[in-house]
Amino acid sequence: VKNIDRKTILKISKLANIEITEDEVEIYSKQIEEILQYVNKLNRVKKEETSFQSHTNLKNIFRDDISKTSLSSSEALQNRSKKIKDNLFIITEVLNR
Amino acid sequence: MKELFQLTVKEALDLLNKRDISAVDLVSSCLKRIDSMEPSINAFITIIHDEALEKAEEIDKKRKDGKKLGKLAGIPYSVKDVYNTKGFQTTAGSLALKGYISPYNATVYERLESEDAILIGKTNCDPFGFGSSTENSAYGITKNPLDTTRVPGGSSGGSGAAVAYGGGLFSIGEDTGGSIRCPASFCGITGLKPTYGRVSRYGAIAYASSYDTVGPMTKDVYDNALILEVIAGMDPKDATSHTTKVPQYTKFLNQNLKGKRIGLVKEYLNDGVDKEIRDSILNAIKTFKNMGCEIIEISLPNTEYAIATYYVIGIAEASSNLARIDGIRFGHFEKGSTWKEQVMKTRGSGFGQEEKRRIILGTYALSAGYSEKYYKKAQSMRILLKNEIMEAFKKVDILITPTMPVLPFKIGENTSDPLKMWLTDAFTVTINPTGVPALSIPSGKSASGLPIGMQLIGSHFKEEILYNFAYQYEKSLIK
Repeated sequence: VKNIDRKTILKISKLANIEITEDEVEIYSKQIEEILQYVNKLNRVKKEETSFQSHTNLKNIFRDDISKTSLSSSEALQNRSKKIKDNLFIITEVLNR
Repeated sequence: MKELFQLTVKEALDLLNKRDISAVDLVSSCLKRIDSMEPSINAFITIIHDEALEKAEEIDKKRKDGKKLGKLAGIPYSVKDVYNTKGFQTTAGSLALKGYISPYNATVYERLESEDAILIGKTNCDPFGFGSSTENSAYGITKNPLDTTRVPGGSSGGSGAAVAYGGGLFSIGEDTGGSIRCPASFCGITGLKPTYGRVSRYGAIAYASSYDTVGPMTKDVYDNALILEVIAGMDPKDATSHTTKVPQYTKFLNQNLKGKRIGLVKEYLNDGVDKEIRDSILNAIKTFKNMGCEIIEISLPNTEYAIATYYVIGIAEASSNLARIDGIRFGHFEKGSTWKEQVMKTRGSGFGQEEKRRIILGTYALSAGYSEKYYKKAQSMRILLKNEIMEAFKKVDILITPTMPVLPFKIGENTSDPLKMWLTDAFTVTINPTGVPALSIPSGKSASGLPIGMQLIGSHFKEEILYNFAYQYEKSLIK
């Protein structure tokens, strides 16, 4: 059974926020189908291990909630120096008015 | 007499301490080497000339004045371009992060700086670690210095090539699924993927957060152990870094191996392995046998599911980690009339083929209706794989396998077939889901003179045992 068609690739790339070209739709459909066929072998395994375990027996770490100095605004904004106003990033409208 | 760039870290430290050479001599020698090699190799994305020489001068002055110096004072090194370094751009090998200057430092970089090592460059890599050949980098292909028609391995291929040709005495790579061990094997050097959590990941640009490890790439085993001593240990900034005490790894190298048990994994010496590689590994096993080691055949039957497990979880985590790259706060940016269009355009043009392929696949594997079929199944298999390997360590001290089933391949040989490329990682990617450490060292050479890598796998936080075996083997080669 084929998993991936043109429509699926376009839907997933939209979910992933990635614009892809017509050529890429072609290439990825084929390649991704091939990879999915390969990883599908996992479904041959009947044994299930559902308990959650970390691979190195990690435990949750807690610390006291003490305030510390963090990055300054100018440092945090330094990679967009031209698109800053009042210490905020300027972005394109998200919601229509 | 060796050129200074040819020295190991240990040899250079001896000469620096005796004041036979200065840090300026050493750094200059490596920079000169880089300048002469880079046109044909392209191991670096950023080369740091002026700041490195200034720091070398400072260290020489401190040494002259009898001031206290760090453990690696004056040693020039590089880091893979996934480590954030204040003041120098960090691209992760991707166009999406071109020009990005981090406002903070990775812990591994801070630890090396505080021991007075000198950063001389940031190395090329497959974008975000996505690749096994460094052919996916947005900054050009890195060539293997041992044969420039071939790949250096990946994703830390720039680090592998730089260490092999003497562009710095060591490098810090990053291993999510073989990205340190593969280039170590292809470039004929020593590379460690430490236990997950042994070295802080803080400030390392994430690929798959539950696999990513930070490790040294060096000219020999002693140097590797020495660098791990400096970079390992708990870091409050990385909650997955571990509190297990950091041993003095260099003290374990000379222990006698008599009576120690080595597991030879049946599934890792199958027909898919190049014959010369198999012979080289079996030869190494003979050497260990002559040292008094006991060889036990081990079976890891779930190995056939390991690549699928690795990739499903790896791409799922990658698609989630890379969601933060939207062009709003840093990196590559493209205009659009709405927010959605702008982000889609920015990501569509900033990410290369392999990045897009993995993000789209990862998004698919996590999407409603498919996460049960792929992601959850892979998580279940991951635990089975870990249990299986832990069971093996009840019978043996280490496992030995080839690092790669193939010799360094030709540039362009596998680029049109991503699945074929992924399958060459069969023996390395299988380790990361289990969290255990694995070290790649040269086991020998092919008839055509290409390096062959041997992988030594140990139990969680037992890096010292790997170094012990590796050092003894390395010594046997010199004899």
